[in-house]
Amino acid sequence: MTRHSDPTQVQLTADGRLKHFLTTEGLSKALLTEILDLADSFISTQERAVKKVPLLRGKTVVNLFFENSTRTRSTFELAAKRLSADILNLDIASSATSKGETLMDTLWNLEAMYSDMFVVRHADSGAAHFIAEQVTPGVAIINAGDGRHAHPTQAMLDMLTIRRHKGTIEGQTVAIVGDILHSRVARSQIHALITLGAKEIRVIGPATLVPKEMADLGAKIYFDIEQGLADVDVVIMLRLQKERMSDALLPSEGEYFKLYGLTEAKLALAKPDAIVMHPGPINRGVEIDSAVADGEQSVILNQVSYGIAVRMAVMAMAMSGQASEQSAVDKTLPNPTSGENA
Amino acid sequence: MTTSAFELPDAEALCQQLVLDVKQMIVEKDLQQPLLIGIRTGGAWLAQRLQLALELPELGILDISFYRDDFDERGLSTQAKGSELPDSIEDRAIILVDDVLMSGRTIRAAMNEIFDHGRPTSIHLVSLLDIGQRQLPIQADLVGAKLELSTDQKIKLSGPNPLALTLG
Amino acid sequence: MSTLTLTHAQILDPSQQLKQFSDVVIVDGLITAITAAGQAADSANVFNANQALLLPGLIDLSAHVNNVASETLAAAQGGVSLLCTQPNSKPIVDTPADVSLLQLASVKANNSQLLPMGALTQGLEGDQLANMYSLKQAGCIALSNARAPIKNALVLRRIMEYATTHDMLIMLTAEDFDLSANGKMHEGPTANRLGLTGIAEIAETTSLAQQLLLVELTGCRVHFSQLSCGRSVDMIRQAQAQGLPVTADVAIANLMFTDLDVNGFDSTFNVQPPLRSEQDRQALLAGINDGTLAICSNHKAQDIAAKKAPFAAAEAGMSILDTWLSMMLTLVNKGELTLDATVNASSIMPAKILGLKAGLQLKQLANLVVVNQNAEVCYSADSLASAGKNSPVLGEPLVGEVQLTFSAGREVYRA
Repeated sequence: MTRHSDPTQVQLTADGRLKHFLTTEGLSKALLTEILDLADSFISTQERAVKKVPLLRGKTVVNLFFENSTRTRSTFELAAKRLSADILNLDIASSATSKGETLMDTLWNLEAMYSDMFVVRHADSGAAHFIAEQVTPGVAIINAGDGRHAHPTQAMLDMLTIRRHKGTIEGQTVAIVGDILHSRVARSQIHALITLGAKEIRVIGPATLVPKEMADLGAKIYFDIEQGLADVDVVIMLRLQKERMSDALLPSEGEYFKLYGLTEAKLALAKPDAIVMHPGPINRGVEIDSAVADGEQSVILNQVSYGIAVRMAVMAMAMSGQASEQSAVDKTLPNPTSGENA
Repeated sequence: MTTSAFELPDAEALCQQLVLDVKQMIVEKDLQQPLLIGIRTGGAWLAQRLQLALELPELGILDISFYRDDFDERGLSTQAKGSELPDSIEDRAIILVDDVLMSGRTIRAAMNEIFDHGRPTSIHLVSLLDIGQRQLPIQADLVGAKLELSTDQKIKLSGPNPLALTLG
Repeated sequence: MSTLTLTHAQILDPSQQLKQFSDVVIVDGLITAITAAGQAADSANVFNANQALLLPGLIDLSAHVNNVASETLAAAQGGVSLLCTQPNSKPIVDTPADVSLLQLASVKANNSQLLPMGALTQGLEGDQLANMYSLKQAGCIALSNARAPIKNALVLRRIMEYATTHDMLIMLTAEDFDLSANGKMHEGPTANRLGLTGIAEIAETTSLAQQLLLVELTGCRVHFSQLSCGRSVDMIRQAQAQGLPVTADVAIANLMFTDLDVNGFDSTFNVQPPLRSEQDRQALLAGINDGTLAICSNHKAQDIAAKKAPFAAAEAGMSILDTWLSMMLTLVNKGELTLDATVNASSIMPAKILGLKAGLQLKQLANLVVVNQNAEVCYSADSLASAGKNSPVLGEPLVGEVQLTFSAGREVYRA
């Protein structure tokens, strides 16, 4: 017998609009496509001299980063500002929780500030889902990465990159190389790729870093990078963290690079027009050669600019989904407060 | 002139008349190097016709999707392509062009977007149709035709060639 | 002399192959007569069971009790007559004084009786032998290391040898703590999808294999607490067939739920041992139905704050005592367990393992429960007597409504 909530349905309003963005899992192809299309239109606005649009004017967005990350945090900050929102950065990593304050208490203290949206990065898988369930109705939660579970905005900007450079995700063969075991990015990418119609998804790495259960998620497992990269359309390299050496998962960076580092020779096994992606920051000489990272097939820098547009898209969609849900709630009240409709 | 809803005017004819009226307005109001800005999509088609006919060098296109005030109820349009305006609209005399003027909210959004880009000298509004039902104090300087519709009727301009009005 | 006559009850006692529509007479807490229904002598004090089931009271091989009053009340309401308490309460039960404290608290609460278990190693640190003899003298029914690690195989061997000296029953956990490190749920497709560290089956089976070999060497009476893997059941069967003095139990949660229930990151299903696959659950059910395994509650109350956190950060444990019998009867109702096997596993076997009198025996203190087997029940947080509302069945329709509970000859609950 089960009594649990479906993590994917917590994200949606009754009429299927996004109200939180927690995971790519369980979202329809139509919804994922809507995110990509909206992000595309934001890319056009980002190329103008006037980059701001007033969609989130008057709204307060709080960056709640329990794990350090200057890069992701700054892209969310930029995205919020370009939507004309007010943004507050809270580096909880160093303050409250290190004093032993529970996540719930931190949340309650923050809610007193009446913000409209939290962008959350946390070391615990399920943290964003937890916060979405606990927070006051009307507050949108955007998952900026929870443990090893999901990093949906990264996955969507990766999807957008593939769509813009290959024309479509449908029918593509995509290889993801590296520490799959610990990668929230890989899990979110796999859900999105399958929903958007990728033909084949390959995960490549040593057995210590590629769990056999990835096959249940819909990926094919390769321990040999040369077999894995044969004729692929997209190569996504994952970052290798130094801790993996001390956890008895890998012997050394040197051996890892020999076996799984992306060099020009290995890239040549993929299709000639294959693109090379990396969520960043890149470890040159560990997972990827400088020649490849800076080479013609690399779209790594584009990923960064698409990241702002994608984050603008999901933030705008979630905020409007929350507002539509709240106005539906208000309409069912006996004496609604004076609020006009458009 | 006010026409009943049964006789839909000919859009192409209205457009041609508007060309003459705009030409006259530019002279009467002494608009220096006016900048035509059309609101996507119907207004943009019209503005393109006006630009050609009046032989004006520049044309701006405004996409007000991100300036609407109803995105909470209706969601965001994914068709938004972004606006295309010249680098500077400071001190320009703008002729804003739209196809159907109804509540006035589209024009409100358009003006907000224009002012986010800079400070024009003036804005004159040209609309192919005025169907009343205003919710804001906004009026056009030039109108092709006024229509009265019943509450369940909607009117649409199709284009760009030919321009035609249909009831929905 | 106080007499209570229970009438018109459907008695089921597998230990005596007793299955009849009966009256039962209890005088001063002792069962004095079991007759056919309507045959008992007239008495002033009568409880008409109205054809409800009358079973030997549940004997819980493993419960964590920190608040004696509320948890023994939960047990009484749940039809549990006797409960063995794990020694990792506050304070840890590793001296005779700690045992006395618990026994006194149990008497004072006057609900279901506690059977304290002592710590197997000093401070539960897994390193130094406990004063097993003193603890036994003080009244500990068994010693347990409460799922805490034993330092190494050598210490484990010594523990078993020493326990054999005193003919002490010890309860051990089968868990290799290096293999299970940081794991919070079953290692499998669900853990992988949720990004949670899993506890592989081999963490339990490799440890169990090692400990069975040590039992073979030492001849120590060992009871394995809360197995979770189907493979482990096979190993216990084989060991028993070999004649090793081993027994084992499974928590009711592992018979009812699987790792899929963790979907949605519901910390209610964060429990040790973890909930494993459907295949494991089926093997555990089979292990009950063929009499290999006992069932326990594995009750662990948690306060709301302890559970209100992202899954891995929440405290493990489920509040079970109030609902244990209903959960088992619900599985019987679904055909997953037989009634006979269930009563055997939750009362008769535990009694035999603990060296107590099993079943409804004449001239013994009454430990029994009267329960409406098919009455529908639905528990809410308010209806639980336990201080812990971390129950996995709140709002779930179950069957089995307790009418009357006797613990060690005292009536401790009446509906």
